[in-house]
Amino acid sequence: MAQIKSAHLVASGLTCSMCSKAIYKALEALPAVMTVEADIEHSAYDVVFKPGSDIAPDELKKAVEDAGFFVAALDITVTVSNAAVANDAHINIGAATYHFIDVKGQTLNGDVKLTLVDKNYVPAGVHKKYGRKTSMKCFATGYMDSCCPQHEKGNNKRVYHVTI
Amino acid sequence: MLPYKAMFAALLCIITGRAAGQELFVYSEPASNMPARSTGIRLTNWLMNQASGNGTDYHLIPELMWGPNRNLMVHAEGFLSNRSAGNAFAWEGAGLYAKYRFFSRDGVFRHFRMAAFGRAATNNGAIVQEAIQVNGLNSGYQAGLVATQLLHKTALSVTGYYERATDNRQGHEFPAARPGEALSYMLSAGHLMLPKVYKSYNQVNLNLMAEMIGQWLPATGQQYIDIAPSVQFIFRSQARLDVGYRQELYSNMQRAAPNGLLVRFEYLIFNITRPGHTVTN
Repeated sequence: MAQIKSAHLVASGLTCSMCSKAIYKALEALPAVMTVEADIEHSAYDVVFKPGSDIAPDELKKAVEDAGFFVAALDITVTVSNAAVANDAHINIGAATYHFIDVKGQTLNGDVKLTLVDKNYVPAGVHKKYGRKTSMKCFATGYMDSCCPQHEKGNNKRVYHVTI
Repeated sequence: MLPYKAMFAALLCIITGRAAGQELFVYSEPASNMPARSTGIRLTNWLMNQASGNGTDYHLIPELMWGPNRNLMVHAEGFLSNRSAGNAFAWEGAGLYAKYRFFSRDGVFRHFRMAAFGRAATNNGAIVQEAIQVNGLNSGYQAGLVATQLLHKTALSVTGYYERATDNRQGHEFPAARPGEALSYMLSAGHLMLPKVYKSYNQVNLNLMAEMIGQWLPATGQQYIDIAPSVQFIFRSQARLDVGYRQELYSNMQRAAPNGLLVRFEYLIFNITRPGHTVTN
C-alpha cells in the first residue's frame, strides 16, 4: 500500500529555539514518526515515517498547531506505481484522496513529492492563487462535495489538494 | 516631569525595537501559550529592598504550569515570604492563573496574538501598602488582556488588567478607607541577542528585555510607574533563567518594597501526555 514516506514542513509564527523545540517534540511524539530533523534557523523540519505506518497530513498539522504554531508549507513524499494523475482530478494514494491542481496529465512512478495547497497548509495568498485554478467546491473546505466523483451525500471525506 | 520623560524614552526604545528580549517576558506573560499537553515548573525569587530601613523582603513563588490544549494554559502558584513577624520565612497563600489565546495571525518569523487572562489568589500577610498586587501581596482577583507582536528577533507586548483586592486572611482586613481597585498595565519589549545563527537546540539563547509596569488607582488618581530591565538565558531550549531588576520611576502611592531583584528558574517538560489519534483521512 502506498503511504507517506517523509515530509518537509515549514512552521510559521516563531523564531526562538524553545518554540522550535516544542514543534520538534510534538512531531517526534506522533506514533508514525521515525525521525525528525530540525532546521531551527528556518523553522523547517524533515520528518521520516516508520515503514508500514499510515499518517495523514492533518496529523502533522495538528501537532504543529498544538505546539502553538501554524504550518506555512508542507511537502510530502509518497511512493506510487503507475498513478495516473490529471489536472483538477482526484486519485487515492494509500488511505487518502489527493486532488491535483495546476499539474499536467501524467503517470507517476516511484517517490513523488507533493506540495499541499489546502487552507492552513500555505499562507492565505498562496491558497487563494491555487483556488483560481479550480472551480470545485471541495478546494475551499478540504472535504468532498457535490463536485467530487466519490462524494457520498452525508459522508464528507477529507480530500487533500496538492500540486507537484 | 521626569517620570514621563523616562516613560517616553522607554516607549521609544520599544517602538524602535532597540530595547531587546523575545516574548518570554520576565514581568509579564505573552499572548502565546505553552505547548498543549506540556507542563512546566517555575521558581521565582523576589529580593525587594524595604522602603523603610535596609531590610529585604524575600518572596519565593513556586508555580506549576500546564497547557491542557493549544489555546489554554493554567498556573497554580504558591506565595512564601519572610514578611511575617520575626522575619520568619512562611507560606502566605496560593493563586490560580489562567490564560486563553483567542486570536492568532501568524506568518514566517512573525505573529500577532491576543489572549485574555485571569488570576484569583489568597494571601494571609499584613496589608502594608496602597499598591495592589494580587500575585503575592493581596488576596483578590485580576482580569485582563494581552496583545503580543513578534517581528523576527524582537517581540513587543502590551498588557492591561483590572485588579480587585479583598481582605487578606488571618484577620488582615483591607483598609476600608483605601481604594481596593486598580488598573494596571505593562509594556514589554524583548530581543534575541544570541545565538546569531541557530544550529542546535543546545545553544544557549540570550534575550534582553525591558518592561514598563504601571498601576493607577481610579478612586484616588494615585499611580506608580516602574521600569524593569532583565536578561534571560535559555538552556537546551527548555530551561530558562531570568534575572531582572525592578526600579520605581515615579509613585505617589505608598509602597513597601518597590525596588529589587528578580531571579527565576523555569523548566518545561514537553508531551507529558501522548497525543491522541483524533485525525483520520
